[in-house]
Amino acid sequence: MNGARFGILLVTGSHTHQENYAAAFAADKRCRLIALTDEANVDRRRRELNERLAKSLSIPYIPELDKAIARKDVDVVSICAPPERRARIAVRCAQAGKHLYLDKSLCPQLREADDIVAAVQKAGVKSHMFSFISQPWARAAKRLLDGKRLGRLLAIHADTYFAKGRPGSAKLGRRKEEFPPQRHQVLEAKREVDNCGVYPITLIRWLTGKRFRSVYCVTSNYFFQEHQKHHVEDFGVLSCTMDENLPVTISTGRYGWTSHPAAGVNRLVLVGTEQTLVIDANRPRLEVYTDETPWTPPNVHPQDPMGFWTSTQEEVHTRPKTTWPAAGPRPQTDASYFLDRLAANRDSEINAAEAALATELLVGAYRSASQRAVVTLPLPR
Amino acid sequence: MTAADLHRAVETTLASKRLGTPVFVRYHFHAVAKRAIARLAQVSATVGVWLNQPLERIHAVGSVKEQRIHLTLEYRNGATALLSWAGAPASADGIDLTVLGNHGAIYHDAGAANLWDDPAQPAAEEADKERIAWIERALRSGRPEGATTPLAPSGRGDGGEGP
Repeated sequence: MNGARFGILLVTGSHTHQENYAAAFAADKRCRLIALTDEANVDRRRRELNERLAKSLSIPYIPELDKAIARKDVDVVSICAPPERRARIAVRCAQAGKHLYLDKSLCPQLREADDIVAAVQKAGVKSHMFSFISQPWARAAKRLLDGKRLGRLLAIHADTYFAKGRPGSAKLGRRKEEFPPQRHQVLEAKREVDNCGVYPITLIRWLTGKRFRSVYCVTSNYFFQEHQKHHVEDFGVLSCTMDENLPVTISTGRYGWTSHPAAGVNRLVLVGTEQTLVIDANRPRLEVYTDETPWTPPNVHPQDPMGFWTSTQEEVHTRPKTTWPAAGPRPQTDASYFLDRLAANRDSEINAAEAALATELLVGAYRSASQRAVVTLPLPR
Repeated sequence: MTAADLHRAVETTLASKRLGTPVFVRYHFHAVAKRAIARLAQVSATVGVWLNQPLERIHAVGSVKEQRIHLTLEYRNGATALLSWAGAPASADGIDLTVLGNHGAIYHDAGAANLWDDPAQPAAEEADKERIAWIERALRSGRPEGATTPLAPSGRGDGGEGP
């Protein structure tokens, strides 16, 4: 460690979630941002976006990953490379003895996830994948479940939808899924079962401590021609079982700016023998109605039509939605959670091994959707 | 409030076309175990009306004995639905509902119901026997199941189901 401070190295810059993660680390007094880096062979656009974020943070851009991770003042590497590059970067950083702060989802392929887990375990470093577990509503769900208020847990039903993008442009019809998926993220679209679904999957595993044992998945294109054009889904449903046949259903996806008064649906229905609890990220809340001009979607940013990134949304002057101000406790940032764990010399509850379980379910889900059949877990290696 | 009251409100909203084309329904309800599968069949018929597509496949998990069943429904033109029943205590009307259209969404949960309500009573009409048999077959097999024989269109059902 660098005295009482954690030296943070950022991998990949603007137009990724690094914009948010870097800000969260920079705001934490235990941290010092060291530099931004990436693989040496990134294309010109990516290099310019990397340099842009480095400049805005007043840190150097080191264009060669290996040189950057060789620095002794780097304790933690925050990795936001596109999904297809994540695994090899994470493995190299772990091998260099750095703790890993990982964007979600972990990586597209099961073999890659296994490689990350092995590298982390061999190096003895700590790891964490971005998740909702530090949110007050998630902590409340954990307390309620651990406190047995529900009696015996009978079922979990989860919905996670992102209210972004201009919907209504997809040509409706049955989607034919491919396996393995050929791409997870392009400029205009992401695979939303992976991108949004990783949250409830991780959360449910964390809440219950149980493993997923089967999955049946249907992927769809309901909202956006951008997703359809690149043959990636914007929506999906998962019907799963966990240990002891605990049933879980998940619906997840991206469904448009105006389909929700806030950022989107994010809720769990926990059905117990004694009580049923609805855990909702949008509760408790105020509801505020005024004579202000109603919220309207921002103009479409040509580099980010789905509203993925903070910087692009600032450039098109996206207004905050103000109808539902949160009324609950102030949330801890995910970065702060990981730093707490590092300071206490404890691994994250969503470490690489946990993240890899989510990858396994997601891979199983895509296989299920392509075969239109139930897939059992664990998947064969 | 009865389930029929809630369903009528949904149908009126869908008829207004404000949501565009409905594409997905999440419908979770609580009820006593007696006639749980018949109730699931009734609800699936109602959801078929909302989605206005023939039902093609059902994947089912759970059992009446376990007090929990959920169905994944796949419709001919790509719409999907998740229906779930629990024989456990509930708040208010015991119905948790989301309908997504390609231009908007409908939400209803206990917080939007009368908090003093008991679980909503089912609609009065009888459930289709063939649909009940289809759900039971899906529960037994654990696999997604198509219809074995075409179902006759019902007055308010999603008629025309079949392989």
